[in-house]
Amino acid sequence: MMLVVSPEKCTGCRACEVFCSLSHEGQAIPELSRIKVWKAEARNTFLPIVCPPCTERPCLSACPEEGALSLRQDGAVVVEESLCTGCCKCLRACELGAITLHRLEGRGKHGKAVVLKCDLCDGEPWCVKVCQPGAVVTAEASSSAGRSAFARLTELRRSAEAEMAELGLRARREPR
Amino acid sequence: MSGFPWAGYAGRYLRVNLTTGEIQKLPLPVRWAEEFLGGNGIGTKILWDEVPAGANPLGPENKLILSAGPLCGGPMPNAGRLEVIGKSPLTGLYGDSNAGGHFASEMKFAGYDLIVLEERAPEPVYLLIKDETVELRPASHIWGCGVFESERTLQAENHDLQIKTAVIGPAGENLVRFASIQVTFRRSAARTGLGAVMGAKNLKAIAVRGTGGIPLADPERLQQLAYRLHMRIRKNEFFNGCHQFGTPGLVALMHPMGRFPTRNFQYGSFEGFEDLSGESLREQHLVRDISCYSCPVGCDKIYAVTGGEFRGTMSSSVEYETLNALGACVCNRNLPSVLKGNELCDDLGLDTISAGRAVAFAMELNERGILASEQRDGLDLSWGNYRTLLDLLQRISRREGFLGDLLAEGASRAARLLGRGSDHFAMHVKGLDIPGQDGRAQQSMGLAHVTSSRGADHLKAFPVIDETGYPSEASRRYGAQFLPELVDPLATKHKAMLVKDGEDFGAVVDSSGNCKSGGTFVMAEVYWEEQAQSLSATTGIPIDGEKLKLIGERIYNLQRCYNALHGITRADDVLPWRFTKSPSPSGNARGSVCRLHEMLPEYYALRGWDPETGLPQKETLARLGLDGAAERLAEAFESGLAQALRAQLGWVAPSADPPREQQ
Repeated sequence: MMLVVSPEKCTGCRACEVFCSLSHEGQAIPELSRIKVWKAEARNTFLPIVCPPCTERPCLSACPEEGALSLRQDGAVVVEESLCTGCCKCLRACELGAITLHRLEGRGKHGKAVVLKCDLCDGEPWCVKVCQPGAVVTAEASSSAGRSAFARLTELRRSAEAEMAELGLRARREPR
Repeated sequence: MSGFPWAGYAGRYLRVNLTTGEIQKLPLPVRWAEEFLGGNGIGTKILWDEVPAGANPLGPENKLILSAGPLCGGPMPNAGRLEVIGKSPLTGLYGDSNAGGHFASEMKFAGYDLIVLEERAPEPVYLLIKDETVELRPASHIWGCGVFESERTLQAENHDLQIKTAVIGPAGENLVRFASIQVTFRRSAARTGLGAVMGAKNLKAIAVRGTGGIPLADPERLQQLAYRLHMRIRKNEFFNGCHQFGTPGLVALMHPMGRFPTRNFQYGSFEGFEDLSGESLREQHLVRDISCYSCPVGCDKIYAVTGGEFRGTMSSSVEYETLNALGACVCNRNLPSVLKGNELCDDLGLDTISAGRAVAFAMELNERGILASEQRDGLDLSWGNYRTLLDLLQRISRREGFLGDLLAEGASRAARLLGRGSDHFAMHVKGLDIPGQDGRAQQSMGLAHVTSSRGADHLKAFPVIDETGYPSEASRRYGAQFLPELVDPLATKHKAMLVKDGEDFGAVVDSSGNCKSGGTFVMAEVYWEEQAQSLSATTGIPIDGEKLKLIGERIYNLQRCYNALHGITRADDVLPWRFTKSPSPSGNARGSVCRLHEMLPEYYALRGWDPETGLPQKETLARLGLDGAAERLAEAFESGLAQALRAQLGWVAPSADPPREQQ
C-alpha cells in the first residue's frame, strides 16, 4: 500500500495533520504530523507532503543504524524510535522531504531527537479518512502510477521551494 | 507547565500594554474557562470587568481581545474560529466579530488561549509571537500598506510562510468605523469595526507561529467522536450545496422569498440575481476550493476574473453577504465588479456589509435629493454605478473628500451628521447596519436583528431552520409539535423560542471555537449534546447539554447587560420603518411586514427580561451567577449615567416612521 497525493484537490484545511498527530502523539500537534501541508493561499500553492510512492526507498539504504528504519510487510518504511540517533541521513536521502527531524526530550536512541515519518497507520491512514476532497488516497504499491506521482510531487516541491526562496522564506526544516 | 487543571486550553494568555511595551504571560483564570468557556464568552467577561461603560472605543481605555476557544486547534470539524471582542467604534456598545482561517489554532499551538491588547503604542508596531518569544516590533514600514502586502512582508521578514497574521489595512489606520481585521489570507473579522480599535492602538498586525501541541483530556474518544462528526457533516443532505457554492448558494434561494435586500431594502428581490448567484460565481470564476482549519466543508473559494474591465482580480471568501452588499443592495449586477469590490475591501480592511450599506445609503439620499450637489464630490451616485461603488470604497478607507469622510462614520452616524431626514434611510439597529436579510420575508430574522447583542446581526441567533424551511431538522431539534409554523418564514409563532435558543447555542459555539456554517447551524449535525461531548472529551470538564445552555445564557445576558450600561433598553429593540410599516413588495413576502410586536413579549418572557424595559431581571441574573451585574445595572440607571451615555452614542435611532412624502 502507498499514499498518492493530488495537490490540486487539497483545500489546505490541515485535518490530515491534526488527525495524524492525534493518533501518533496523543495530542493535537500538527508540527509532529507525519504529513505536512505546504501552503501559500495567495500563490495558489497547496502541497501535502507525505512518504511518497517510491520504490527505491533511498532512506532505507541511507540509514546507518541497524533496525532504526525497516520495511514492513505492508510496504511502510517505519522508524524504530529507540534505535534512531537522529543523524538525518534518511532525511537527506529523501528527495521529497517526507521525513522530518524533531528535537524531542526523551525520544530517540540518545533521548534528544528523532526522525518522524509516515507509517501508513497500520493500513488505515487517518489522513485519507479525514481528507474530504480526496487529495490523499491509498493505492496498491509499485503501480506504475506511483512512479509518475512521485516524479510529479518532487517537481512540485522543488518549484514551491524555489518560490519560497524567492520570497526569502525558509522552505524546509534543515537539520541544525 | 502552566498548572491549568483542564486540557484543551493552553492555560495561559497574553496581556500586552502597548504604551509601556510590557508583555505579560499570565495563567488563564480557571473560573473564566469554567463559567465562560473561552472565545466569545471570556472576551465578554473581560470587557465587562475591564472596559468601563464610559470608555471611548477609539481611546486607549478600550481593550481589544483576540480569543480562541477550547476546541480551537483540535480535531473537531471547523475548530479554528477566532473571536475578536472590544467596544465597537461603530455602535459604541458591545462589539465582537468572528473569523475563520488558521489564526486561532496557531495561537493555541503557540501556547496562548487569548491576547488582551491594552492602551496605545506611541509608534506603529506589530506583535510577533513565536512560541515563547513574544515581542512588539516596529511596523512603520508597513503602516499605510494594504493587507495583502503587509501579510507578505511579515512572512518574508520573519522567513516563515507558516506565520499566521491578523492585519488591519488603511481603513483601520484611518479609524473608519467599520474597519475589519483581516485574518490569514482573506478571512475577515469585520463587523462592528474592531479594525479601527486596532488602528487607534497603533497596532498594525499580530503575527503568530506556534509549534507546540494541545493536550486533550481523552484523545482516543475525541478522535473517534470528531471523525464521526466529520463524516456526518460530509453525508449531510446540504453538504453538497454548501461545499460547492458556499454561502453564495443562498442568492438563488433568497430572491424568490423576497429576502434578498435590494436598493437599500426598498425591495427584497433583485432582477439581476442570476448574475450574482453561487452558480454563476462557480462557473465563471472558480480557481479552487479552500478550507479553514480542520474543516471538511471548504465553503471558502478562490475566485479570479480573467477578462474584461476587472481582469486580474483575485478574490476569495466571497460570501452571500458581500454579493448582497456590493451587489443587489446597490442594484449592481456586474459580478466581476463585486469580486473587485470584495478584493478591495479585503485589502483596504473594510467590512463589506457596512461599506456596501454606506454606499447604498448615499445612493438612496441621492435618489431622494437629500445630498446637495457639492456633497457628492463629483460622483455619479446612480443606483448600480459600480465604478462609483469601487471609487467610494477607496475614498472611505482614506476618509477622502466630504463623502468619503462622512460615510466612513457608517450610515447610522452619517445620518446624524447630515440631518435633513436622512435618518429614514439609514437601515440599522443599535448603530450596526442590517445585513442581507429582511425581517418582512423571514420573521425570525427580524427578531434576531433587534435582539442581537452587537446590533443588527443575523449570526447571533442564526435562525436558519425557517430560512428555507427544513422540517426534518426542525423536528429533530425542537420537536414535531412546533411544525408547521416553526419552519414557515412568514409565521411568528415559536420564533421567539427559535431565536433565544439560537443565541444561546451560538454564544456557546463562538466560545468553543467551532463554526456556525459547518455543522452547528448549517448542516446541523452538532447541537447541545454533541457540543457538550466534544467539549468534555477535549477539556475533561464534566459538562452536559443542560450545563452548556446555562453558559450560553450567561454569556448572552452579560452582553445585554454591557449594552444596558449604555442605556440600551427595549426602546432600542426596534427595526427601521421600512421593515415594520412598509409592506414588502417582493416575492413570497409581498404584503408582509415584520411583526416584532407578536414575538418580542414572548422573547423577553423566555429570557427572563423585564417586558417593559427589556433589561434582564434580578432573578435571571442571579440564576446565571451574575449577581454583581444586577447591582451594576441598577446603579447605572439610578445614577442617570446609563441614560447620559445613551444620549452620547453618536448614531441616530432608526426612524420608526416613513418620511413624510410616503405617509
